[in-house]
Amino acid sequence: MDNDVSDESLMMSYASGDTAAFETLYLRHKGPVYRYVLNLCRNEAIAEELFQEVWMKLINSRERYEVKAKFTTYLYKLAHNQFIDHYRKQNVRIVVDQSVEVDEVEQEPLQRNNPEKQTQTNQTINKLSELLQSLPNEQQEVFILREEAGMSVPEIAETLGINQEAAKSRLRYAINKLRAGLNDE
Amino acid sequence: MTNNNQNDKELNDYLDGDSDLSKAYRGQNNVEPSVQLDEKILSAAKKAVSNNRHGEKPRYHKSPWTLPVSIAAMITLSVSLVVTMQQETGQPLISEPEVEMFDSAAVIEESAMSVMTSKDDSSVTGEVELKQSNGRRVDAPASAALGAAADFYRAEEKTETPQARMKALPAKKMMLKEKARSDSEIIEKRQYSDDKIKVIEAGQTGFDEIELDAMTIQSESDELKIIKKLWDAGEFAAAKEAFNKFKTEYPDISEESIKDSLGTNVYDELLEF
Repeated sequence: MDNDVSDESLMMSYASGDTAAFETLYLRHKGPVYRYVLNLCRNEAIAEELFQEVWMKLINSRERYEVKAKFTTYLYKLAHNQFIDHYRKQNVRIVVDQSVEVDEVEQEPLQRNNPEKQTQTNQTINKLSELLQSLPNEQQEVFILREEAGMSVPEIAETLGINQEAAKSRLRYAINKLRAGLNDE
Repeated sequence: MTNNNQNDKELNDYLDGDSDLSKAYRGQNNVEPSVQLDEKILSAAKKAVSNNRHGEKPRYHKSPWTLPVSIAAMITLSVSLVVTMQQETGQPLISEPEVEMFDSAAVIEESAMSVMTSKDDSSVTGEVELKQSNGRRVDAPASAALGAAADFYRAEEKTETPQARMKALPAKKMMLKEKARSDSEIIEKRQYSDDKIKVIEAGQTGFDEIELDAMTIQSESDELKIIKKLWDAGEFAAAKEAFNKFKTEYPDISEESIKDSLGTNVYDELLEF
């Protein structure tokens, strides 16, 4: 399937019965969506469950899909609602799964030859991961949507159902805290 | 003020892309879902499509009644509008010559059919005898008989008499009767829908009896209304079932919208029920 085909066209093709279109769409978004969900709940088992439910909802709503906005906005809105529903059902703050560590970082070839730089990079990454977890959920979510889905501020606002100023403010707080935390090293 | 500007600058730098923060984030392990999960989802996607191909009704397919009912409603509205305009302006619904033409055309068709099905030689030779209501005769080739007759009657329209105009009355009556019948059907449907809500309010029914009627339920908000009514009527299990069904069918409706319609308390209680 052509990589230039838009997400929206792929979804419309899938709604008409083209399963190859769905596969392309899935391969394109599975990583970012999975990391989005995992970052929110910090638990692999729950993340897999939520991730599967998001895609099942997408599959089941294919007949009703209309191109009203960007497909990513629609997809992440499903993921966001799924997470919120799960959170409400549990009625507790989701426990952080310590098994999701960042010490298995895939090493860049250049860094492999430079142990000192590698150590420094790993420290930054570990620190960032800790800082992300320490952020309030709202700020963490806007940052992940920006990083994983590459969304603009208006798209983040639409996905989360908040106004643009709120989205901008949350993102501003998030990057300020993350930067300040990294500079404290 | 300076602080705000500084914050905005930092945000804009970050949004421009490739900031140190983004690089550090991307340096994290790019975890992905397991292969088994991939296979599960992809096979579910294929299965859903193949079920559709094998004639299974799509889960979110709109009711087949939607289109016919919409067309019927549109026609009824148009006819009502025309009748209202006619009453207001005093103009007839259909001009009298047109009505007379319908009347005459019916006589022609009847005569033509009887002649064509008879064993008369004229039908064999391709000639039919057309009788007009005033007794005049028209001879024409069978294939062109009706067309020629219609032309003939159009020419005759100018010479119509008051007696001829009277013939239009049965046709008008029929149209008005038809309109009244459509109007009463719509009113009945409406009452049916309203009665359901009243019955729910009175708590006299179970969920099965208020199964959503595709002809009367027009939108998600109507469904939410039903859920709310069920809850208020104390039909908690039914409300929960309808609520779950709604959430499955409308995954893209945000929680905030649902809350707005149901009320935060009802929404929370439904979740916990």
